[in-house]
Amino acid sequence: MKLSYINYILILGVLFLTACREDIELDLKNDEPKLVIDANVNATNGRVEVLLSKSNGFYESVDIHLVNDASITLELPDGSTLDVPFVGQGKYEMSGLTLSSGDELLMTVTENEGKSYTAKTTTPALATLDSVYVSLSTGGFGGDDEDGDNYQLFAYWYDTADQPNYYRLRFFTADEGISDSYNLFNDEGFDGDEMFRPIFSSFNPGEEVEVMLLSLDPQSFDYFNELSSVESQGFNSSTPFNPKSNFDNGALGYLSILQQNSKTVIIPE
Amino acid sequence: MLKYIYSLFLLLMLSNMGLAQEKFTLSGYMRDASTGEELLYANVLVKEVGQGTTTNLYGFYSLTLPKGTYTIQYSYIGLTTQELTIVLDEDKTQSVELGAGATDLVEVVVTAENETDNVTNTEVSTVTLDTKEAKLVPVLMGEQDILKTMQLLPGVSSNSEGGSGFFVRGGNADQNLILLDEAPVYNASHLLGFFSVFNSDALKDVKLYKGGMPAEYGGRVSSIMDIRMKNGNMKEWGGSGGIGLIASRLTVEGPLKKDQGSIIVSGRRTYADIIARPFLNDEFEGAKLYFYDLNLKANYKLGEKDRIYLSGYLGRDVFGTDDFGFDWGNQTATLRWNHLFNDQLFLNTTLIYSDYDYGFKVEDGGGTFELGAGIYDYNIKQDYNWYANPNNTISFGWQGIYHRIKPSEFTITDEEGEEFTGDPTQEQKALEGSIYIANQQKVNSKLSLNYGLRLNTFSNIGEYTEKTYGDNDVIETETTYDKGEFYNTYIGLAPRANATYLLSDVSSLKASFNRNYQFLHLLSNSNAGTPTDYWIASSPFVKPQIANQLALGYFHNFKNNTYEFSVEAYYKQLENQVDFEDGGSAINNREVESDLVFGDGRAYGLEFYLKKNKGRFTGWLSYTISKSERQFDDINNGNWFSARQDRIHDLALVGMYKITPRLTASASFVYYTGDAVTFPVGKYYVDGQLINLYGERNAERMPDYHRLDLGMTYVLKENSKFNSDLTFSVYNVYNRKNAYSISFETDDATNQTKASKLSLFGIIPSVTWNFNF
Repeated sequence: MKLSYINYILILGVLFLTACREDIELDLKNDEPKLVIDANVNATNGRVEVLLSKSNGFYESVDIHLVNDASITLELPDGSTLDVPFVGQGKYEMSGLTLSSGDELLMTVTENEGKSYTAKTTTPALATLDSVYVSLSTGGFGGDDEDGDNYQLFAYWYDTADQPNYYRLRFFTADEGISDSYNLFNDEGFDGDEMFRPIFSSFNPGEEVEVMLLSLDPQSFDYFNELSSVESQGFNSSTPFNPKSNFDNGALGYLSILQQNSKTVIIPE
Repeated sequence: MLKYIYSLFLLLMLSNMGLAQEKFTLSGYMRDASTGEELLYANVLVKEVGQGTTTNLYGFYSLTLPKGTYTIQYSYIGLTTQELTIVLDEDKTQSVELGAGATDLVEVVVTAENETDNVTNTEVSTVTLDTKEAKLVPVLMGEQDILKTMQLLPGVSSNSEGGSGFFVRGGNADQNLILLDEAPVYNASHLLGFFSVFNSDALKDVKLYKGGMPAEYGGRVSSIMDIRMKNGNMKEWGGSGGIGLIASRLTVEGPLKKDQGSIIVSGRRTYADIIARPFLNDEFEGAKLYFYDLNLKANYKLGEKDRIYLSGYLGRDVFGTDDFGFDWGNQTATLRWNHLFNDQLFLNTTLIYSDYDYGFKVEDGGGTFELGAGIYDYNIKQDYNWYANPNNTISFGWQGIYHRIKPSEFTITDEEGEEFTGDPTQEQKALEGSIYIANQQKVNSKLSLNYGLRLNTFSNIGEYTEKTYGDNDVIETETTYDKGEFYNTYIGLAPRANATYLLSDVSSLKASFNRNYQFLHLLSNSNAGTPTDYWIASSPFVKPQIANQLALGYFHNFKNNTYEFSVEAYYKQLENQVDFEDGGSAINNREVESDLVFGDGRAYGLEFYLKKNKGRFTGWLSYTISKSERQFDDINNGNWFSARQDRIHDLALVGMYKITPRLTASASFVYYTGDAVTFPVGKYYVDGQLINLYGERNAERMPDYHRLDLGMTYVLKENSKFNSDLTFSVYNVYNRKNAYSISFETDDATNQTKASKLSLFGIIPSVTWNFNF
């Protein structure tokens, strides 16, 4: 839909031959660098991966400013605490964490100067992919190749009843790596029912595709939703904003706990 | 409520006391002699008593005076004043027709005797646009547009570059009620807002209430724009039209039966796509991009006391390529019946239908994707005018509107013809009702009042499932109401009062207080106004918007009324304002209510207006200094922030100079503070993406906007049969690159983030040929 508006404006612009885009120097305020916490907990395999960095000025270089001297602590439901060790390049990682559905996890990140940030979220329920269908469509939606054949994938699974569930579908191919689009949905109106969602992309015959069904905690679901909306900012979109972090004290980023289930399919030759 | 009505009548009675003399009524219609068009708001002055009245929206007037002989003066701007001596010894009907001062197409004549009307009337914060004068103001691509000319007046500002949308006194765009022959127009723009839906050839009179709304109007909190279409020539067949760079217009009008009934048909179509074709690349082959408007009005006198009017409007924008289509538009139909019970009591009964809808269709391979939405209104109202005595004119009436809002609904058809319908958002149905009473009272020779009350009701009607939402927008409760069930009702009482106190013959002080309720809210992600903007009704969850406005004004005319000057101060308080929470969107959102936040607003300002009415040089200067702010608990940490349309300074300078009787030059210059917007204050990486870090809501400013336009109108040929003129205009003479939008992105070449602005219209010359016959 957004594209259509841009076309519209373009047509008008071409029509009057006067529309133009040019760079301008704006006197933008430079905010104090803020801590950005990218914390992913995979409750299915027990991995904790955190990337710490700092925001920088709009007109500064695009290089990432990593934070290597912070400390990160986890507080488990039983009250015990664990440190997530620094492994280099702004990364703090550990394995072997055991969390089950409904468990709360508290993460505290403390900077070298002493300022600390806390987030708390709940472990989602694991959803298992029932099946993934490969469907061939001739010139249907979503394909890049207008004339050729397209393969669409449909993922099926059963929603856990009597609780809100939040999902994200991703896929991995050897050629393209892991998909980065925010394919997010919840179970509103489908509580406890069978869910199915299409995956729009163009796949090659013979390609191996790993489809990942991620169950998310509600906070990171909201975060990714907002992030995808900020990302697609353009003409005619809402007032820009910062995705709401679940960390306190003005940190950016998120703490996410997910459960993961995968199925691999091979696109027919 | 009853208490108010009682005191109203008490006031009335008091002013009637001591008038035991025998009295008679003089009434009738005022018309334009050349076309038979009724004259609205025309002046009727009883010279002996120095008092008078004005005609109503149907050209009717009524005066009740003690028995005697009177000199009655009839006047209207641009027409020759007439005086009649009336021996009033019985009730009399006297209709008058005023002749034109000159037949000159481009002449701005102001010959009205009541030149001090702007000083003496009880209207505060009201602007009337003279359509003749508006024709001379240079505009984008030569397309005359009353909404754009309105933006050059104090307190009214444009929503975007070249846009026909407007903001009144810091209010939002959806807080303006635009009525075309009493039918609400829900989306008044064509071509993404660059043109309004109003073809000026079909229009007779435009009045904008920025405040001080009479009690007969309601439904929006910031302004009411009352647009009346021409009735059509009652005397002879004729027409007018124009050929421009991007659009052509043609209007034909004439009597159905001389002095009994008439009809007018007016059409307009753009051909932007045809002209653009050579410049477009292959991607746009077969592209369609045009709009058209059709206005029709007919009226017929059924007798001395009855007259019916039928008017309609149909307009549509079409945009598409071979496999993609998008169209939208409004339709309105109004049926009116004027009835005169007696020479003191006038009734107008109106039936109205109005809708706005859009549709979107993509074809890909054998499948299609369709999306559509719309709002439909069925409306009935009655307005009574009772000319009780020369000092009191009472209006009262009622209105009922049935709203049906069909939210966006999509259908996918695959290549086998199988259909999938998206989870439709629920249809909303509601009944909006109102009753009002008001009195226009002349207390003494210095003080005039106009006060009244309007009672508004709004009821939601099933079938509907009402939801409440908890944290993370999780549905907490669901209540289902049956079809036809009235499940939620709001009642609001809106007092209205205006007062005018004459300081001298040429100066006055005016004050007004008014309250307005608004039950429909526009959800829009942008400021520019788009075809997919989405209306929702008030509900248990979405409270009605309320505005309280206080305005004070000083009006003064100088140099034998050559100059009009006014200054007005206003303060407007807004409650239950609706906005999206961060990231909320209306498009195909099933739980749109859960994405809304509610807050307050305030707007205040000072408006200056200086106008020169007479001489070879005419024009005006308008300057507004104002502030408009909003406060939402969930936005900006609950702190007040500037509304996007908060333009601190807004200046417009318009001049017209008559070089020779056939040649007129005109110029307009506008300057305003850039919109309040949110800009990045930094950037960061999260989840592998480089994201902008944004500062506080609307804490930054777009660059200031300014622009000069020039125009020239040359009358080609003048005779009684056929007149024509050429209008040249140059938009944005010094080619100012005003920013339409600013975007922030990474420059891949330098690996730096940068800001770039999009400017839409550079210098644009145009020429239009207008004719009438």
